[in-house]
Amino acid sequence: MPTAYHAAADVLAAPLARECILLHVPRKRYFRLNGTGAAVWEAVAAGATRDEIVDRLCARYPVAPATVADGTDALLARLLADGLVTRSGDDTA
Amino acid sequence: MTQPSSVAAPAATAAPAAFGASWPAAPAEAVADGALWVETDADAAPLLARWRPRPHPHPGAERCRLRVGAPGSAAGATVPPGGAPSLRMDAVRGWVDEGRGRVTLRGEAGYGVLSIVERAGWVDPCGDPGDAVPLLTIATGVLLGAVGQLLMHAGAVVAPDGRAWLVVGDAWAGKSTTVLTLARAGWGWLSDDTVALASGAPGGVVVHAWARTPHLDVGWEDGRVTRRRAEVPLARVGPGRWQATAPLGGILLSRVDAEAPTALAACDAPDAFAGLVRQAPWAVVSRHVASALTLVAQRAAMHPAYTLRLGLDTYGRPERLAAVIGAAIAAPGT
Repeated sequence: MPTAYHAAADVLAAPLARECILLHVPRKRYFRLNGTGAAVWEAVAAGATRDEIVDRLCARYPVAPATVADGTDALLARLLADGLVTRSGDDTA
Repeated sequence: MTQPSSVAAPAATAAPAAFGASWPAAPAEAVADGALWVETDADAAPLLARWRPRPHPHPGAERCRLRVGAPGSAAGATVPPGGAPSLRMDAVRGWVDEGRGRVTLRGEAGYGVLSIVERAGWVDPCGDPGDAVPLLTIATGVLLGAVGQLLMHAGAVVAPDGRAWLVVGDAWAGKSTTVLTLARAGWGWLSDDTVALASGAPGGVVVHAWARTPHLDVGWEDGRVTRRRAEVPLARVGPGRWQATAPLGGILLSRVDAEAPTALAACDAPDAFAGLVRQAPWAVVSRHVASALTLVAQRAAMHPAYTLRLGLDTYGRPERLAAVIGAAIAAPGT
């Protein structure tokens, strides 16, 4: 099953212009996402898989797919580490 | 954070059996825009002087209640839970029970319990003046949050077009000086220190005054810096210029840089959002209030926002300060 990402239950998102602020309520911490980060979050909030997120970004930004994939993986890893997303559909969930 | 020694050990949390109806009769008053109804025991009343805001001239319907004073049979039942507190203000700390939607408060002597779910609570300063203001402020922030109002540490002025501009910043960031100096220049004003924000017309935000007697450097009117603060009688500020409420026009994130000229620079929405939330720590204390209050802060942050660097060139010079700020906010994007 493809790996899917979901917004963590205790996270609130506040889209602001082209950016997005994420609030992790239990930890009282805010995180700021830039424009591309906000696009990733939008896809995460819709329950997109990792590959779907990369496809969406490739369709939106004129950047090499490998670069988009690397950037997406890095951001998802960071969001996961900070408890902002959960992961399902693979053995490491 | 470490657990304060004064609240160590107890593992259970108890709270009054009921809020509201079981309280004995006590003098009551509406504060904020009337959303919060406060009942006060005679013994606790003197401690409210520094906290109590100017009455709202047209209070709306009560939506949350706070009792100040001994909680009756539940006295002594506010055993705080173990672990680090979720928020603190001066000596007062708060622990959140997300499952029951409750916040337990404990200060040096005072304590209290707030029910976010029931939109009611009580605090008892136990005669400690140092605990009174932080207890009341946290309680007010949480309870107003339960009805969707974002209480925050900020001043607010009313520009000539009738829109309110928040003046946001830490202590000694020039909030009171800016508000009262602009009032001397003929602007309206809501508060020099505390306001409550609520969602208004689609996409809009309404600012409600939480006005108290301002404290300013005694040399504020003639441009002297004495570093001694004193109360400013409202009659000196500009009689008739106070307003209870106004639609939000924008945000000024203020700081003092005495050696540089006063200037404004546009700032982006995320910076404005961070500046707002920093001054309202209770907004994120519980998921029961965080969603609604984040939305209010998000709406507010979508308004024009500027950093306001305050120099001595406008200190004690109302017309000059009004000209600098007025010119910037009248030309969006500068």
